[in-house]
Amino acid sequence: MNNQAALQLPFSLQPLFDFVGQVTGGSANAFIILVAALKILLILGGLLQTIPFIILLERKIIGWIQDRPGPNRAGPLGILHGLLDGVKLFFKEEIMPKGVDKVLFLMAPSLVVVPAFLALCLVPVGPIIQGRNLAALANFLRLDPTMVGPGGVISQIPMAITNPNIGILYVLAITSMGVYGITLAGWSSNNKWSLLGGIRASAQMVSYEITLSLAILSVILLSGSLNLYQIIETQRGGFWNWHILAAPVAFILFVVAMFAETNRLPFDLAEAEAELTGGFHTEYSSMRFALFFLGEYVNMVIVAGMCVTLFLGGFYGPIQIETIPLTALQGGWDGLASQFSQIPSIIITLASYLLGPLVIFPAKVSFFIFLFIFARAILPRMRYDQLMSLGWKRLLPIGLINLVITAIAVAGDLAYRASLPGGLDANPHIFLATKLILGAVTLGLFLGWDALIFSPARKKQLTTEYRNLERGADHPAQALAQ
Amino acid sequence: MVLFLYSILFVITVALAVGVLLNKDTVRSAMCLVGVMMCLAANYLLMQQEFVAFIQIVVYAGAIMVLFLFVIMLLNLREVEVLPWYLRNARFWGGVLALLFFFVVGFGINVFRSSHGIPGVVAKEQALAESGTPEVIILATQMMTTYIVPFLLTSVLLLVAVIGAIVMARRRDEDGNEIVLDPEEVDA
Repeated sequence: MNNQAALQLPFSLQPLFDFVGQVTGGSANAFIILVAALKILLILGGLLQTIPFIILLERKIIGWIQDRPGPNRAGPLGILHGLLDGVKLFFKEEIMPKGVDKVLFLMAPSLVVVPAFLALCLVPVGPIIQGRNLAALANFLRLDPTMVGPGGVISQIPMAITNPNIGILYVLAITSMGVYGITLAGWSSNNKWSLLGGIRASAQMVSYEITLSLAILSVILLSGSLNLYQIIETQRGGFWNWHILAAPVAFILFVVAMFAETNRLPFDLAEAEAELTGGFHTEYSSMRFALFFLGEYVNMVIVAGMCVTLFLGGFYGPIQIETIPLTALQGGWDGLASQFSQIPSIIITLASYLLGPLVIFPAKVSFFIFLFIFARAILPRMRYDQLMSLGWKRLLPIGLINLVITAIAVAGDLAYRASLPGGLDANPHIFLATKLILGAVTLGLFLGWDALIFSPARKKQLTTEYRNLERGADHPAQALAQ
Repeated sequence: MVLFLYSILFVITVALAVGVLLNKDTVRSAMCLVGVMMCLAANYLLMQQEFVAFIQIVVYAGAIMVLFLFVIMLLNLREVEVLPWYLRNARFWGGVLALLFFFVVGFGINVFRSSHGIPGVVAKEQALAESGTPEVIILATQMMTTYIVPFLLTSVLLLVAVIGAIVMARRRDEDGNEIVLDPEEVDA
């Protein structure tokens, strides 16, 4: 019984490839371009469809927390609200105030959105299709096996738009470009609130990028690669392999820096509607304002995706369900094969491949989206000096110490593995025990930080000083204390 | 095809570099410099040096230029202020320095090309590059073995610069005594 050969698309896609091949010079180019275009369409399109619902969800959840219904007029449960918001923004009048720097004013919104979309190229939403599964897929789609298939022009299709070797570095580089949009919007608006917002944004994002990089560096040390797929591959096998257990402090630093990088509460000092009327986007209206809005939400999804990739095992589930190989099914793999052999195997393969990008990855990303929304609903905004002192005086030293401890552990593990019989080839991965001990030690140090370096008396003194600083020197409570 | 891309990049880079010099507005000038940095990164990408390209963006375009922009905006430098004495003849001295730099770079490239590199070092790198090892691993191994002394010296230099910046930024009163900020006085 050979289901694999039997099930094919009822029509051939070859004319499409022939047509694109004529335009782009050679059918090899056509395959590369069409596969890339399809991935861009699916990932970008999927994200853009989701964002109105994220916004709706945010307003609903905040409404629920604040004990009010939230948007509930447009459509059942207010589902159409996001759509109507978009339409409204589209038809609003575009206002350009007097005295703006026109070039920079027009350029700023796109400088926010373009880096956000560029960073999206790298987010690995699903596994790499390769080997006999790719052959099966090519057969199903009636594609030329010398073009798509093992040993063909396209020998593997990662479920990310692109997969360069320096992956995480690309993401860092591109997301660090996003700050220009916000800063320039603040500068060019010819408005002092906007300018203040822009200045705050540039200082804040540069400061917290350091914390972000330090957190990412410990993950790079643990996985020994910059490539996002290899970072996920080192976390394969089950939730006990996830880097969150080996680098809990780096995870905490990453999450904090993530909020600061996306300018979300409690770090939204660049907008700060209570003090700056809207900050950098005060003077923007209509679609240009919508672009800032869109950029913020795309950035949220991207940093959440990065966090999932780096610390939570990416598209792999908490317990590994191995991608079911086709031949194993046909050859009678356990008793399972006879159960499943009635179903065309291509469908099982597709299902096992789509579990990651359609269920597991979105579920993990949504967790962080919820975190963003909850934080916005329940946390007050930090003051500017608190923000800077948190970034430079607390997170930065913690990140450095964490990095040094991680490096020592990884180097020790490497030396031990090299001394074992068989050397590094026989033991290519860091031992689970090392990871868990490292995680426990760093988390213990992080939580016991206060107890370790401050005596109770000094701690009390510091707390009093900090409280006084919080209240301000002329606060009546402090006058009483003196 | 690659030559075509190089020529386009060349034109854009030079145009942006001229923009840095000719723009009266400091912010626009700084943004042109960001563009130049991005073009250089694109150049490295065309040479298939991905790591150097993205480090270029992270460090120069992403960090240093943001700080430049921050300072410009903080000081609100809308127009060119009165020049200090050492910048009066800036065009002349800048031209001289540019010429000198051009000759030094030309000389260096010439020496490198005629000698085919220092035996042993460049040959080793070429062999590594041809072996198909990822670029990052080659860079890391070289930096931690062959070039460990310059690497450490550079990091010490950066440390000195950081400490120097802190020393210079410390506030002093008229007698040269250091002002220590009392946390209770900060908000007063």
